[in-house]
Amino acid sequence: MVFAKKTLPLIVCFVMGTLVAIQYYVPHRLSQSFIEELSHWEIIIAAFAFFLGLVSVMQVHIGKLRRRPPGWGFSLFLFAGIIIGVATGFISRGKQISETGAMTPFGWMYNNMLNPLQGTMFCLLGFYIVSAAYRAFKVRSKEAAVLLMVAVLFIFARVPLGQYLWESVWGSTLPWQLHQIVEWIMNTPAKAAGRGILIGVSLGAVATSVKIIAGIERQYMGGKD
Amino acid sequence: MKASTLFSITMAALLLAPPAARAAAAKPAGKAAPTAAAKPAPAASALSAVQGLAADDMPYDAGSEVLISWKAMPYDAPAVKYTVHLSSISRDGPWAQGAVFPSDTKYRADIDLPFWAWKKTKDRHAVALNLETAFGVDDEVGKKRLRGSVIYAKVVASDGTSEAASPAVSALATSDWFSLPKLNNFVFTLLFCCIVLWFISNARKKDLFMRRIPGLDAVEDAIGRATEMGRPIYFLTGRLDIDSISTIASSLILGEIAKRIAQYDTQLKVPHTYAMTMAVCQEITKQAYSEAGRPDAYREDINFFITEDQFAYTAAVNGMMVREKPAACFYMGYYYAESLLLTEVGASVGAIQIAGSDAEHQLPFFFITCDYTLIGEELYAAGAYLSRDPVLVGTLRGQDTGKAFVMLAIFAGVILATCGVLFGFEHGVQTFLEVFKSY
Amino acid sequence: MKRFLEGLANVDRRILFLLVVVVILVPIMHPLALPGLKVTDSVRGVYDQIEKLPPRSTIAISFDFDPASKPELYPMALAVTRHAFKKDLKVIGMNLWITGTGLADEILTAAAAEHGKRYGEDYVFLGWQPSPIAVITGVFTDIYKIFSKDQKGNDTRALPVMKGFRSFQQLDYFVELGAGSPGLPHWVQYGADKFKIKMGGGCTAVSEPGYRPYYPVQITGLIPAMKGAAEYESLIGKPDKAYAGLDAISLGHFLILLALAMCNLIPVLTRFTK
Repeated sequence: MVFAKKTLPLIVCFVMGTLVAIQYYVPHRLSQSFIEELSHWEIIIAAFAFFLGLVSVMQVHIGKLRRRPPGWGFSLFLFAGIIIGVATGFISRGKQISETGAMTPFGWMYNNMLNPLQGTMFCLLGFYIVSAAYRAFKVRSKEAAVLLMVAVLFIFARVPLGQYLWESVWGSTLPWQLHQIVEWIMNTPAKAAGRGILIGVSLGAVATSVKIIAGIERQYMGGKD
Repeated sequence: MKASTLFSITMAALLLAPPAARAAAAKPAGKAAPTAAAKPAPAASALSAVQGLAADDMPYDAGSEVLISWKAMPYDAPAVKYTVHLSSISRDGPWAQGAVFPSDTKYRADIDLPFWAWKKTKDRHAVALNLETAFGVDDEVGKKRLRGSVIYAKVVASDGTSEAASPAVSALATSDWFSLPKLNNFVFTLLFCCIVLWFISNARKKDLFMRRIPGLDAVEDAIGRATEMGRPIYFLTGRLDIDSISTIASSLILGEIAKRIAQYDTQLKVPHTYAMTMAVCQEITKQAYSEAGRPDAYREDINFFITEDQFAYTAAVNGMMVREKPAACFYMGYYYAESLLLTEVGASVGAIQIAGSDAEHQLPFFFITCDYTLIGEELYAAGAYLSRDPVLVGTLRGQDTGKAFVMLAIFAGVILATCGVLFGFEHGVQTFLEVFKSY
Repeated sequence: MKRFLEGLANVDRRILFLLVVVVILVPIMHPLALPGLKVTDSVRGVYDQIEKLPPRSTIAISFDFDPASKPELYPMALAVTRHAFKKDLKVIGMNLWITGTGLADEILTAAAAEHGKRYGEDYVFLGWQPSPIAVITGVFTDIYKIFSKDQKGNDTRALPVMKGFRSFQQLDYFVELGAGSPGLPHWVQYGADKFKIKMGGGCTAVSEPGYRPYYPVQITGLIPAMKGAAEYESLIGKPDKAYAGLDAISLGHFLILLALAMCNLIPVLTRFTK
C-alpha cells in the first residue's frame, strides 16, 4: 500500500522528470518520439482530470441538496445547466451551425447565454476599477504618489483623446510626442522590471522542479512520510 | 527511496550524457555517406560549376536535415543565383528543388550555431535542408523511407542567361544524441541545480536569515479575526494549474495556513479552478490538519472544484463571498482579470485580504483593494517564511544565488558590449556572449 | 460644504457605476469621432510581418479567448484574419480555450466569406484539444498526431491547404491572440522561441505590461486590446468595431482620471474646510 501510494509515484516522478529534462538536450528521433508520446499521455490524463472535477462538483452540490442550506436552489440550477448543456451538445454534435447553415441548439446557447453571461462578468471590471480608483487609490506614501503619477500619465496617454489634447497644447514644441514617451516607459523600464520578474520565476521553476524530481519536495503527495 | 539516493542517480544520469553526446556530435561527417568532392563541370558558359561541393549530415538534429556546402565562388553576386537540388532516388535524379538564393548569401557564418559547435566562416556557402519539406513528405510511410535513404545533391549556378550545374554528391541524414549548441544551457542548469541542492543541505545545518514580510505576519491576525467572528476563511490558489510555479508556491502556503486554521478550528474554504490542483491541495490540507493534531477537523469539502472557466469561477466565488461574508480572504498565485473582481467583492464584504502574486500586471489591483500584498517572488518565499522548513529556506537561498549570478552576467555583458563598441572588438564580444545565448 | 464633501467621499458606488454606464453607452450610441489615434510600433510589428509575406505563405492563428474578452480580442482577431486573407495567405486556425471555439470559427468564416476564400483550400480550423502544453508541443512536432481531424471532422492531412505541411515549424508566421492562460507565454516558451518561429501577439489591455518583456525579441509585435485593434483596423484600411469603440475608451479612461482626482482631492479639501 505504502509502495503504491508513496514509492511508486516517486519513482515515476523521478524517471519521467529526468527523462524529460534530458530530452531537451537530445535531438535524436527517439527522443522526439518520446516527447510526442508523452504529449498524448498528458492529453489523456488531462481528460480524466475533467472527471475528477465533475465528481467534486457533484459531491459538493448533492451534499447541498441533501442538507438544504440557504441558497441550495442554486445547486438545482447547476444540475439543470449541466444536463441541458450536455444534451444540447450531443444533439448538435458540438456544432454551432448545422450542415444546412441553421443555428443549432448548442449554437443558440453559446451565442445567447454563454456570450452575454461571460461578457457581463468581464465588463464588471470597468465598474470596479472606477469604484476602486475613487475610494482606494489615495496617496499615503511616496511610493503611492509615484504609482499615482504613472497611472495618471498612462491613463491620459494611452487613449486617442489624451494624445490629441497633448498635441493641441504642446504641438510639436517638445522633442517627443506623448505616445512615444509612454511607449518608451513600457519598452524600457517597465519591460526591464518584467524581465527581472520572469528570470526570478524561471529560476524558481527550475529549483522547484529539481526538488520534486529528486523527491525532496513531496508535499504534493500529502507530506514527507 | 531516499532523497539523497535519488539525487545521486539524477546527477549520475545527467553527468553521463555529455561525453556520449560530444562523441556523437564530433563525428557527423563520419556518419555521412562518403562525399565526393565536386569537380567543375566543363565550362558551357561564363559561369563555372561550384567547387568543393560536399553533402553531410546536418549535426545536432533528429536526422531530418542534410547540410550542403561549397566554396564561395569569384562570381558570387546578387544577380547570380544558386539552386540546390536534392534526390532520394539516384545520382541522376529525379530532382526536387531544395533552395534558391542569391549567390552572395548563406555562408557557414550565417548558420546560427555557437562557436563551440560550429566553425563560422565566410569562405564556404552552407545551407541546411529539411528533407521532408524538400520532398513534400507528410505521411509516416514517406518519412520512414526518407530516413534510410542516401540523399543526392547538386548545385546549379545561374545568372538568368546561363547556368552551370555541379556533379552530384551524397549524404545520409542521421539522428544525433546530444545537441552540442545547448551545452551552455546544460552546464548552467546543472550548476544551478547543484547550488540549490547544496543550499538545501546547508540549510539543515544552520539557520538562514529571512527578512520580515508584513503580509505574512498578518496571517495570524486574519485567522484570529475569522475565529472571533465565526466566519469562514477563503483561500484561492490562482488561475493556473498545478504545473505552474505560482500555484505550487500557493499550495505550499495553503499547507502552512491550514495548519494554523486547524488549530483555531476555523472554517476553511478552498474553491478550485483546476481539478488537478484540487487533488494536490486535498492531500496538502489533509496533511496539514494531521500535523496540527486535528485530523478529526478535516473535511473532504474544504477543497472543491468549481469550473475551469475564468469568469464562471469568478462569479461563483463572488456569489459565495456575498452570501457567506468571509472574515479573511487569501489570494495566492497567478491571477488575470479576475483579480479585481474578486478583491473588490472581498473588500465590500469587509474581509481582511492578503494577496500574493507574481503576475506583475495584476499587482496594482491587489495594492488598492487588499490589506497586504506579497510582491512577485515574496510569493515563493512565503511558504519558507511561514514554515521555516530548511528545504524551502535553502531553495530560496539557492534561487537568490542564481539571481545574483544572472545579475552579474547582465552587468558584465553590458560592460563588455559597451567596451566592444567603444574599442572596436565587437566581434569578439559577440562571440563571447554566445555563451549566454539560447540555441 | 464639509458635509457635502464627506457625502462625496462616501458616495454610493452604484452612482459611480451609473456614471460608467453613461460614459460608455452614450459614445457607442452616438459616436463623437474623437481624433488622435496613433499607430504604435508594437502593432505595426505584427502588421509588417504579415504584409511582407508572399502569397500562399502559411500563417497560423491561435484564438485563445472566450466570449468574456470578446470586446477586446474579437476585433483584432477579425482584423488580423482579414489581413491574412487579403494577402492571399493560407490560414490555419486553432484555439486552446474550449469556450472560444465558436468565436474562432465565426471569425474565420466571416473573414473568409468577405475575401471569397474556400474552407480546406485556403484555410482550415483545427478546433480545440485538451492539455494546452501538450497541444503546443505536438503542433510543433507533428500536427496530425494532435489534430488528425479538423473541427468539422475532416481528415486534416487530406485537406489541400495542409498539403506538404507537417508542423508549425514550417510556418511563415504565427499569431497568438490570447486573453490569459493558456496564452502568449506558453506559445513563446514551448513553441515559437524553442523552434525559432516568428510570432506576433494580441492580448487584453490588462495583460499588456506582462507580455511586453517578450517584445520585440520573442514576438515581433503586440496588439494590445481594443485600441491596438483599432490601430490594426486603420492599418488595413478597414475601420470596424474597435475603431467605433475608441470614443467610449477615451471617455471611460477620463472618468477614471476624474475618480482618481476626486479620491485624492476630497480629503485635502475636507481638511481645508475644517
